[in-house]
Amino acid sequence: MRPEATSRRNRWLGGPRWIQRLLVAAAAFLVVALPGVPAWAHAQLASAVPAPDAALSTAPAAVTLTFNEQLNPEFTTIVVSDAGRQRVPASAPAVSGAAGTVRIEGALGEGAYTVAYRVVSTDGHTIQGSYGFTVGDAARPPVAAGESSGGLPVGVLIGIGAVGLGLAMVAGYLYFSGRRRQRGSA
Amino acid sequence: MTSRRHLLTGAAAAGLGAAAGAGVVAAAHGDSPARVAAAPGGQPALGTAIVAFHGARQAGVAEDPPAHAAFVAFTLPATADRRGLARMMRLLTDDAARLTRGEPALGDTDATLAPLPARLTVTFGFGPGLYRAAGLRPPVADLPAFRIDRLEQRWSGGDLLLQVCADDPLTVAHTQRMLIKDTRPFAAVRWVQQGFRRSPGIHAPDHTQRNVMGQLDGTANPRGAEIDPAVWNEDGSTTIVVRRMRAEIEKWDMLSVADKENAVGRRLDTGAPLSGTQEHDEPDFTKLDDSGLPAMPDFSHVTRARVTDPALKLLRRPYNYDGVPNAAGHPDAGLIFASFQKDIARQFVPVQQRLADKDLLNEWITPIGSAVFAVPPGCAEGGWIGEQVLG
Ligand code: HEM
Repeated sequence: MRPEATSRRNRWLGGPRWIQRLLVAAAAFLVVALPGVPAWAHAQLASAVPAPDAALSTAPAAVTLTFNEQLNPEFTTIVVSDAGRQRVPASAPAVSGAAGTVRIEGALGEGAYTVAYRVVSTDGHTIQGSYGFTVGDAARPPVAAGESSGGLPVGVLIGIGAVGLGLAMVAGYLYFSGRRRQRGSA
Repeated sequence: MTSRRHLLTGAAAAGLGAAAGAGVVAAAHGDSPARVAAAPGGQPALGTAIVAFHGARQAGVAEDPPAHAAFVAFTLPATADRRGLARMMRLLTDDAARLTRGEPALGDTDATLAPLPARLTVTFGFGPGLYRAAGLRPPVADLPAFRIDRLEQRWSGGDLLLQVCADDPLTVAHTQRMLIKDTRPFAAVRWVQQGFRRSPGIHAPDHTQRNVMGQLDGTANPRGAEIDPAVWNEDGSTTIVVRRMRAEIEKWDMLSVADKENAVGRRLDTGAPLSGTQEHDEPDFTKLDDSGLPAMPDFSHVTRARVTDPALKLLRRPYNYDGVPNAAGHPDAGLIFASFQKDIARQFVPVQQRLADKDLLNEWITPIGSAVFAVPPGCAEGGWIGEQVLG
């Protein structure tokens, strides 16, 4: 084996330059790829009545969901189900600006309920999610709250974002410190 | 598919003097694509494949769509009459019968382009205006206006339609040119729309094609014996609707995969309904996810377009178009949506009305052209298309 080939290979694989390049590439990928990942700027549930996990003593007559963006009234689905996953009879959603309301027909009995929504913001993205509330002294809401947009749960997206940001910062640090070192040694 | 209209291989059947004994056409009945390669004597089977022109029903409807198409619509002059129209149809039928079997049309100035028909079909459609010119009551009427329509005159209407399809774009170009030349004394070209689908040999013949929006398009189409009750009238006639649907690709491409899937109601990769796992699973509109939402979004294209009655289905035969992008690089792309059905008012209009009322896909597709035609029965050798109407 020719010695200079080995040493070049070692420097390439083992040296910090390799890690630097990988990180720069990873950061570049994330910078390029992230704008394509939706859900950063798109509609989210801003507030809800009844609120997620609310324990109500009297049955609500309506559910109103307010998002942080205008809704497309044509494409708004809001469903209330009971603990047996039976749909509670309710009106078609009335949409006004960023809020959608369904009126519940008949009184809800004591128990746990799930509110689920699938709405489309005016730029065409679908947001769906669900949360629970209880009426009377039913133990706990049946379904853990969740919201998704573009298929990935918000938590995962935030996770990806955080890792990406971290990588970018490390890469940036290494890149600039590398340059400084190079300039110093020149 | 009709047994009458089996595929023949060009060289052997038409006696062109080309190498005899061309191989079986792969697209015919599920042969493996490997057999497309070449026929004995060096004539590729794809090029010499023939779809029979004569028959009780016109060709170009029930067969698997070839890869390329030109839809050519004409406007009749105010002076058009029944006798002149019959003369025109005799001439065009003769051209089409020759060209589809790989022979030059009479007076063909580019006869060298004729011998590779590549499954060429020429399908004639008669618009409402043709019937009026002939003093007859039109069996088809223009579509009602839909609120999603942004129709442009340059893609709409027409008295006569020629749908020219083949697996080769040069064959389509030559056929279009010859037919337009012979129609010129009788009618003016109103619009031409050229489109394409996947080429033969790209994937298995029964594989659903993808359209320019990346979707598997054609999954729920009637196939085989299901075509008859939806498409063909007793007398061998049918109808065609041609809608030019612009796709807002720039906006579409801003969506995530899940957004795109919600708009259609099917998975982008497999084409499976969101309520199932396989492409051909029946969509289950009653299925709820864990939170109580319907698995098939109630505003998705498939939910809204769904037709279950076998007699009311549409046979969709769309072609993609992809024109010249503008200076900003935005594509000019979409579908030349063509559908065949017995009765436009009973079958097509209710579906289009439901989609116009609500369909999330509308955010990214816009009808910019629209035309309807009756497709008269086919004809026997020696006969002509339209003889039952104009004869
Ligand atoms: C650019 C325009 C359009 C696109 C991209 C498009 C796309 C699709 C896709 C991806 C499917 C699901 C797969 C399939 O079964 O083929 C579908 C189904 C369907 N589309 Fe469209 N489509 C368009 C326009 C139309 C129009 C104008 C109509 C009729 C008015 C229509 C009627 C249907 C019907 C009837 C189905 C089958 C529904 C079922 O029973 O499952 N589509 N389309």
